[in-house]
Amino acid sequence: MESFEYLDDLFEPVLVAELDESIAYFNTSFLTLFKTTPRLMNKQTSILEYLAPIIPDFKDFFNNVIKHGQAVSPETNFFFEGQMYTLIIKGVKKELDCIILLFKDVTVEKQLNDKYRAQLEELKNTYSQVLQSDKLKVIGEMTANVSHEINNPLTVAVGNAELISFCLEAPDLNKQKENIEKYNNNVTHSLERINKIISNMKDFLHKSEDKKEYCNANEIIEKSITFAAPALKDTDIKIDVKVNGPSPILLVNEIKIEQVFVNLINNAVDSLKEAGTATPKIHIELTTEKNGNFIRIDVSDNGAGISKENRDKIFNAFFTTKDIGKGTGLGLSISHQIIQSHQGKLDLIDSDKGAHFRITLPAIGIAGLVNGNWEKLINESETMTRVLVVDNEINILNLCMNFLSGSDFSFLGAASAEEALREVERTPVHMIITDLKMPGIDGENFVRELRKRNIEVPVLFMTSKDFVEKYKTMKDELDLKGIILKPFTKDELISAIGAIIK
Amino acid sequence: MSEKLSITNRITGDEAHVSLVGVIDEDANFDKIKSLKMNQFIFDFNNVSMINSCGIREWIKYLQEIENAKISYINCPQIIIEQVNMVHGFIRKGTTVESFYAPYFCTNCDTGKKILLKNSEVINSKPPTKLCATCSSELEFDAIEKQYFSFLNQGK
Repeated sequence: MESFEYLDDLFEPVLVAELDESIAYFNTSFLTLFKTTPRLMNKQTSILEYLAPIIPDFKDFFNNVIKHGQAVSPETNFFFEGQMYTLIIKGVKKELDCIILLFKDVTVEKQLNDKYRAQLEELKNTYSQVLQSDKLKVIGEMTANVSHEINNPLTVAVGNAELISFCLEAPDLNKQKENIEKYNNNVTHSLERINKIISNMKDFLHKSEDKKEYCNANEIIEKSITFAAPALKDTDIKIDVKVNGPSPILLVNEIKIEQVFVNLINNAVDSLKEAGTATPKIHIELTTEKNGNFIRIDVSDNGAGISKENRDKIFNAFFTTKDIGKGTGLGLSISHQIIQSHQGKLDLIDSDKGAHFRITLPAIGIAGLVNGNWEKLINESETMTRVLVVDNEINILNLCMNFLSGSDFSFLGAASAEEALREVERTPVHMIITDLKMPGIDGENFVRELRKRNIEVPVLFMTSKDFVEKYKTMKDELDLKGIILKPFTKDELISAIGAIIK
Repeated sequence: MSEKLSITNRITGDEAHVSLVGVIDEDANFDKIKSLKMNQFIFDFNNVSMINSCGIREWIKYLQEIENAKISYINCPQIIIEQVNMVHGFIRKGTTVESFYAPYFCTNCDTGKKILLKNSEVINSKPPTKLCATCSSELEFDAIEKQYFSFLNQGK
């Protein structure tokens, strides 16, 4: 069969069979793949007799090619000559009444894929173990502070309980009623505070690792400073926080971001202690970048800085300049990865006069897009309904996000009208639900601005019943679709959206 | 788990004799012989049990590290020859395959044999005549000659 000799120049194994199942030609790569020789192949009278015992379902595949003119097999695994193989076979019936079979050997790709998946899984497990060990270290540092924190409200609670006892001993209890109520309130308040401190710590230990929520950046920083307080004990180190503009709202895993700040603050404290700076201070500055897409958080100190030779190594796992037993060398490495998992970055900006780290995180609009919704947006961009919720109340954003998470609607959040306007310019949305009363541009003016920009997307107001009358006055002018009264349930929210989107 | 590649080397004068044993795949590590600053290398593939496309890539990368050295391959098994015939770069310019195994068949004993040949024995892609060690019958060459010996033109 000289007409098929050109097949010898192909890398892929090829076999040509007649319709009567006899073998007309095979190229060199075929011999290599099936570890056979021309002599043995020439003895074969039927392709089915030869390949069906080796390749599972080969007979069905061959018959399919005859019946339909061509066929491609699924990835087929089989054991041959002591080795596992993975093949994809393509068969084509040609006009000469012969069938050309091309064997794509994907054994190496399959094995590599399986191997790297297993390694990746192992790496993920190791990473979560490393993350947990760093967390435990931070927990250890926090424990001292927590006991101190609990002591204050506990003292208040005990004192007030004692005062209640005194009051109860008074001859005329009616005269003491006001005092008892006051002292009782103090006890309750103190116990609530203790409960909050403990639940914060429990959150840090057990909170879902990947859950992101809307959080106030300034509050995260303040909490982190509290957690890092034991390290500041008996030092003159001052921490000042500067917020440029309104405190930004972030869509983050609060616990993980706290872990980053605690790490950065602890590192700064260690460096300041070592340097013995006269007026040691840690400066934290929060800035929303001009275009509103990113939040910058700078953490700097006036300590010893980082030497040139160490600058490139500081984000490496297990790299530490601290004495043995004082640092694991994991803090910055983990912090770097945490920030990366939030689509942000952690950089060392300067290290000559103290260390200056910068965290850049996406503002909530961008973060909302990349937080799980991204995949939905790509895969279901045609069919998915995107709902933008605008509210300056973090709790409302988190509530709506949770309510819509399992629904057919994709959630996007904005903490202000300004941010919402940026988002609608960036990503088309199918519906907007907005609070009416917001700082800066309020709900009414937000919708006016939308209409001015010819954005005709349906809008629902989300407010209290006190504003129903106001809604009625502007309903037609602004083409408002309805109102959702706070508080609302998941079903109410979803049915309100569904009624409009249909 | 595949059998890992192990490498042993023996140095005499300016020449390094390197024996490779096991599997050459994506995990093959040639660090042990990377730093050998020798002028001549003889690579013995006699005990290589498997080589895949990732292993070839690793090998070609390794060859770049010793780009000025003179290279000879000896005792190349059929699996190496088949790969060498398919992937260019395994035998770079100036490299000689001094000896290799070729498939023969004894029709009398009905047995396949792997016979070690010297490159000088193959003239114009014709295999040398070999006799069966068991029955002394003449063996048949058991591959497509032109294809199997095509590697001999590489490296020239």
